[in-house]
Amino acid sequence: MDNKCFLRIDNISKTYPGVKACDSISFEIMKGEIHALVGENGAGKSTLIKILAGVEKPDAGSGIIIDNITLPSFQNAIESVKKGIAVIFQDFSLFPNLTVAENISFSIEMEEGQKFINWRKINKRAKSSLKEVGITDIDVDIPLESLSIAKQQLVAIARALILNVKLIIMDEPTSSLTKGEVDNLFRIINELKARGITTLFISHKLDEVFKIADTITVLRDGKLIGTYIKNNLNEQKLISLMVGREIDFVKKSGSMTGDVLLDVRSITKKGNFKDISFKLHKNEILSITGLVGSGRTEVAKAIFGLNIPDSGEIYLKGKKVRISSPETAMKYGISYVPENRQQEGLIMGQSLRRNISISVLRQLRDKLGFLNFRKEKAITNEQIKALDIRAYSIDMLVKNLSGGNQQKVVVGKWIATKPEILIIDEPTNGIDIGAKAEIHKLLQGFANAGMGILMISSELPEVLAVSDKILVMRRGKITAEFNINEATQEKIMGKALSSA
Amino acid sequence: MKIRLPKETWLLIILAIVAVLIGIRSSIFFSAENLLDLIKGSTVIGICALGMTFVAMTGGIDISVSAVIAGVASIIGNYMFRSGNSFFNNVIIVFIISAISGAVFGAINGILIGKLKIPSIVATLGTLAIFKGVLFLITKGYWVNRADLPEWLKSLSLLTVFGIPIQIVIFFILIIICWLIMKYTTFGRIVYAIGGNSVSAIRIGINVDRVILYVYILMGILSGIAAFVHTTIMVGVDPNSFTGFEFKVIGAVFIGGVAITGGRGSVFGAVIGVLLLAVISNGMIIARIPIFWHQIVTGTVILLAISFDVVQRKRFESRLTKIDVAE
Repeated sequence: MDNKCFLRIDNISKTYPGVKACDSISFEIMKGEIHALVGENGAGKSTLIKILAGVEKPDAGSGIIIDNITLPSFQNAIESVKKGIAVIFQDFSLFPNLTVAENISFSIEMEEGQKFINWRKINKRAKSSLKEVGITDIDVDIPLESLSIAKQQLVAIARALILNVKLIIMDEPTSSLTKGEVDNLFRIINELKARGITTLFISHKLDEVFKIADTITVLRDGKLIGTYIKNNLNEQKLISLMVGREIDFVKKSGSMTGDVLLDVRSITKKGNFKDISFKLHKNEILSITGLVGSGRTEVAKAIFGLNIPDSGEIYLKGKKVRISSPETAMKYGISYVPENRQQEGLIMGQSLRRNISISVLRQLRDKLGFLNFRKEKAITNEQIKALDIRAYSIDMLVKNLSGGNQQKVVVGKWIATKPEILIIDEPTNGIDIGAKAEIHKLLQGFANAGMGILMISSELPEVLAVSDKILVMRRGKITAEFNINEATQEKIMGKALSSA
Repeated sequence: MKIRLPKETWLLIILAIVAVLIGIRSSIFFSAENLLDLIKGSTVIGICALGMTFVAMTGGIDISVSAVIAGVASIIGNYMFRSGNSFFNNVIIVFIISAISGAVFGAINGILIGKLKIPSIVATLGTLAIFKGVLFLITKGYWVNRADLPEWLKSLSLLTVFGIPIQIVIFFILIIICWLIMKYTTFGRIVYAIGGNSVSAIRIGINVDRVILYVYILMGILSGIAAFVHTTIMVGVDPNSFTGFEFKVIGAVFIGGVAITGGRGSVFGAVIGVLLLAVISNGMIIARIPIFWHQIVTGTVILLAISFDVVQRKRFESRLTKIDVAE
């Protein structure tokens, strides 16, 4: 095994107005290794990746050392590609409207300075590149957007391979994949390793990091904490390095749950879910878990009036209701914190106060019907205090907040409506471990205060830490119901993967 | 019965149905004279629609097209008038002047939109007003009469190739060139890519600003050629006759299947869109429908076409995220 260093990150710093995203970071990436980059949100990982991609320029004094040549930065994306670095961002940077073959061959056609397109050559190149990642059954002539997310990711990798990549950088590569697809991806990463290609990836999923990485670099608050060999760490140690303190997911004390708030009987919707029945009580956190694509979000949206079932009944506190729209759901005291906070939960270009107050605008009216800004400020500050949202001003734009704080804003917006039932979908997706624990504590606090919480989550540690009862869904149906004391990760996974 | 045919084929079918319906109503519709006239009459809009397809593909729009055509037409009209019998007053030079003047107008748009990053709808609304204003300042509203124009222009206007008017031949050649650019050149694919995901385009090293500049220059060149063709049809220049032009061009392009956000569509679709509008217009004239209905009908057709497209996309997208429900 060749142990030489492929790339040295030398004293890289990057300052944005108001914040130092990267602070004198130095470490080495060895040839042929699988190197994980971990850290809380805001630790500087994404910024570092953008610098390596040539999309951002670091501050003066920074250096990237490849092949013993020191560069102050990459001039642009093309220079980074020429040095053998390919970055796959979370959105894959592909073109949904172009064909699969075009997406794969685009970069190399441009690099070769081709003015004209030879479709047969492009299709052939694409097919052989896909074979390298083990795909032989995709039609390369179809638009990219017809492929599933997992297949699109493989197309992105195929594109990197065709450019003779030496270092593939992936940002949160498994966030949209099912378990089978994750295994497939890891198999490919190992094959790349066997060919001498280095992989650097950012991930929040520590169990996956331990499964596949050789080396782990930890960043915190823009600074390097250290680079470690995987075998010298365990998950607990890693977490405390990332966070600087010991974190334990506090298990819910088996408290008494109250009366039935929500009684769902046999709801069915074609192409979404079938025969779903469950009860949600006061003071209870009920989790629905399962693989991505099992229909959990579809069920959650149905209860919020966004995905009305074809048949079945819903009872609220004993009365039969028909939830025909989010407005109706809100009238019944139901709130829904969506999975995709940036697209469905926040107005990114608006301020914190506007985002929080938007769900309760009617309450903020004064006698003449105008908006009372003092009331708006009060409600906003109330939520900021209750949820410990870290922002330097209530007028700051929500897009400048970290992921964890953004999520708290969405939660705050919905809590402001004082719901009796809170549906929350993937509450801590893409959020660092410290913020995760805070949000869990918040949810438990709400439940203790009387709310019934329906939580959708794919993260089993989270589900086991927070729930009173767990429902497992697979392919649109509920395959199991567990009480918290009888549930284990294995049992849940078992029911998520098969209906037996 | 869901038949998966490309959008362009559906459009052709609709065009054929409409044409047949009109033809049944009136026998003169399918006469060679009427058909050639119809196509000849749509060449100017058609050539502009070719350019607009490139622009719309990047997710932009060019509302200034009517002012650009009026501008180029006035420039060449004046040139031909002033150079009288000089050797330099010939078809090649005037054609080149058309293309270059159009390119200059286009470059102004391209710099505002590509380099200064002004949203295209705002920038071209501005240049529409400015170009029109400057034009009026120069021409003072006077047009160039037939009598003041050279003989070669009058002969050119009647020229036919195997019975097909020269204007249609020029249109056809341009269609082929634009189609080749879109499908077989890197430039064309980059235009598609920018429309599909401009952030990804920047990330893989495409110089998006420069490409957008070129796209608007191309639009300008095509508008210039369209002005030239228009002048050969009218053998005269009335700078006021181009009002409301952009409406037809843009409408045709969107009927033809170019998405509002860009990245989807084709040159052929735009051409079919142009022909469809022309056929409907022609049909309304033949059917003696009062002229004030024409705009209403055209507007409705455009709205229907765009809504149909939007609804289809929504359905396509919702189908992409289906759950495979167990039985």
